[in-house]
Amino acid sequence: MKFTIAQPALLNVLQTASKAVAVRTTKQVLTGILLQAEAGRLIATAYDLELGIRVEVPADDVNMLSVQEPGAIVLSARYLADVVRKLPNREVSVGVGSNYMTEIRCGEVEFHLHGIDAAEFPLLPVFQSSQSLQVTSEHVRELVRATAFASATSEVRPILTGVHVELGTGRLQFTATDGLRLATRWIGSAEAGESAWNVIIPSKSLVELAKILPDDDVPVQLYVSDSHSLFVVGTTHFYTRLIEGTYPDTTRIIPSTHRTEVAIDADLMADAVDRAALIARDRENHMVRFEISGTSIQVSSSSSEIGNVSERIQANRMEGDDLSIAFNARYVLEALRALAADEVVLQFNGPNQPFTIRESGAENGLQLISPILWR
Amino acid sequence: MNTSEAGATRRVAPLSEWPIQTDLLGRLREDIASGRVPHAMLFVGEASQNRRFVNFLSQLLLCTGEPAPCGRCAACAQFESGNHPDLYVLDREGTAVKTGQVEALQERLKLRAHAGGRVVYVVHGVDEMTPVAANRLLKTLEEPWPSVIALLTAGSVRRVLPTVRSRCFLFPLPQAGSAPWDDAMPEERGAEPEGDPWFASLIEPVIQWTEILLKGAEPAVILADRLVRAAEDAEFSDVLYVLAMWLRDLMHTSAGDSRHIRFGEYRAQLKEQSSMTNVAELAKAVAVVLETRVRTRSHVAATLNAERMCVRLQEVFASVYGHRRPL
Repeated sequence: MKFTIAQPALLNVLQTASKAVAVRTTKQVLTGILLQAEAGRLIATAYDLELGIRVEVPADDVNMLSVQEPGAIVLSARYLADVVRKLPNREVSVGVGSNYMTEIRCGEVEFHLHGIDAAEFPLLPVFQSSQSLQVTSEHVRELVRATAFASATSEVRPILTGVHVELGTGRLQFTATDGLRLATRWIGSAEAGESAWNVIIPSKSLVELAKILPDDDVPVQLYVSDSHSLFVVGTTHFYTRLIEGTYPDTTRIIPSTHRTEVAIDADLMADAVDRAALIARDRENHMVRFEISGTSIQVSSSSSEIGNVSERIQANRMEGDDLSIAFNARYVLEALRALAADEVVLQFNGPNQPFTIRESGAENGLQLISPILWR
Repeated sequence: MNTSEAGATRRVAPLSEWPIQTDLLGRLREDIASGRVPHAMLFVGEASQNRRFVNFLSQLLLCTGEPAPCGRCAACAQFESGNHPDLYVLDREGTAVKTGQVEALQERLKLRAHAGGRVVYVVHGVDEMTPVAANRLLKTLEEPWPSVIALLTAGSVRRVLPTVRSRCFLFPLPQAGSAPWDDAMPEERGAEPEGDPWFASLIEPVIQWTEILLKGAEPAVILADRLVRAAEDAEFSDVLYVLAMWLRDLMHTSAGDSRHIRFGEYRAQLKEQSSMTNVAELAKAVAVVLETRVRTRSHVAATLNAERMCVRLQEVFASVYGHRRPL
């Protein structure tokens, strides 16, 4: 293998790919980045067995890529990225010699790094075009932001550490739950009518994906196979492994009726709950109480060790029965943050039933939270 | 205990090519060939035996070629380089496998197989795990996905948590040297170190030497010199021990018995060399070598002892050489 490329272009590729390099592993090849030089393009791949990133660079006038000899090599991500970062901003030449010894040359600088046979690198799957869907990066970011935080962090029920991604009935829907709260969000999709599928993608991988998506609104192609999902953004391929199993049916726990409905300014409510949470301790499940009486809501919290707090806020609108309910402040704050709306609508079914929070006037998802039972 | 019904039938290497052969492993082989792989297997034996066998079995289960393990497919190549994406091996950190390692494993096992086939995980020394770590492992053993296979090893079955034991198919692995036809290890050796047995570095020179002996191309004096040199770093009596074991393997192969083979991995050489001679001659040769080994303990010069043995071995194999009898 032998190619030349401008230093900033090579560094950029390595930095994107290196987000998927394995940190703690006994498999040495996974601590490296796979570089493949083919006619007119360079491909860098990293894969920690859960998350894979493959970046492709087609030759152009800016990156000055020129492939003299096609081939592939795996180089230690840590050293490769450091080496390239510290090279001068000039043309870099990379060539593999015997025994996978790789020469990196830039001006008068010459590094030799021990490489690993590219054949040892796990092959990322090739996707059939049958199960694919086009969305936008803005939508993906929105779907992940509104749901991934609600997935479980403990491995007690491994399936809940993922986000349930469903296509069907005219929409693409993301759902996550840890058993005590649930977040779901959907977007309409014209392609959803044609096929239906559902997969469980690890939340951690989706959060990483949201981080590397470009800030401007670009098309994202989503593919799924039996073992992986793939998000293609431009020339960057983002692979995640799927979680094994069947996601629990969450439609049954979302209430279809309500006895109390409150519309309130989201910031007003978030600020009040945030203040009350100062007294609500971790040991007491961050318990904050709402006493709803007409449009007036008393927000309070007390701790035998620290003291207590109470505050009265005004709802914009209230229908149905008065109510007293206690909840985990952390869950409510995270849900409000995920909704990012000016006004939210809360629907309750008494103090012992889960309640929902939705964006006012939008039909795009909801946050469901179990109350804390208290006398 | 479950067995996976999902697997299809496939060709599996004959038992004679397995590193260890017992009746139970013969049945396991048949089960694997017919696609019924137990979800959890516990191998009980000495550490080096466990390791050798579990290593072989993991490769066999992950191999995508035929007969498994084929040693040629992509999965075998990844396995041999230690990079198979669907194999997880938990080895002791300090005294035993720790809870944190089990948790990290479980985080991986929830994912579908990278290659879409089986996922194999190995946990060494389940008898030495703390109860907390063993109980954590239990959850994974209790609710296995059809594609996930557990290979556990232990030195003593009595020390394995009963709840773990009850969820596994148990396979006792015979101790090296416990078979009725086998000698005890040389006394001065003591316990074997883990990993390769002590004779690993000797067997290949011994095989080459035997080939030269059987071809009868060299006189006894030079043969003796070769053997002494082959073992520069080892005790001469150990070399003779390995030689005797190799000749006995040839004898078993010659007699068509493939179950009691110690060096099964050298199948080609076993076949080739055993075809050059016969059981009776090999039996005599083993006796000559063992007698020479006894003589190393008395004050006999090593070279002289070796030369005497070579002369006698050439007498034994006289018929093999035919008219090419060496000097």
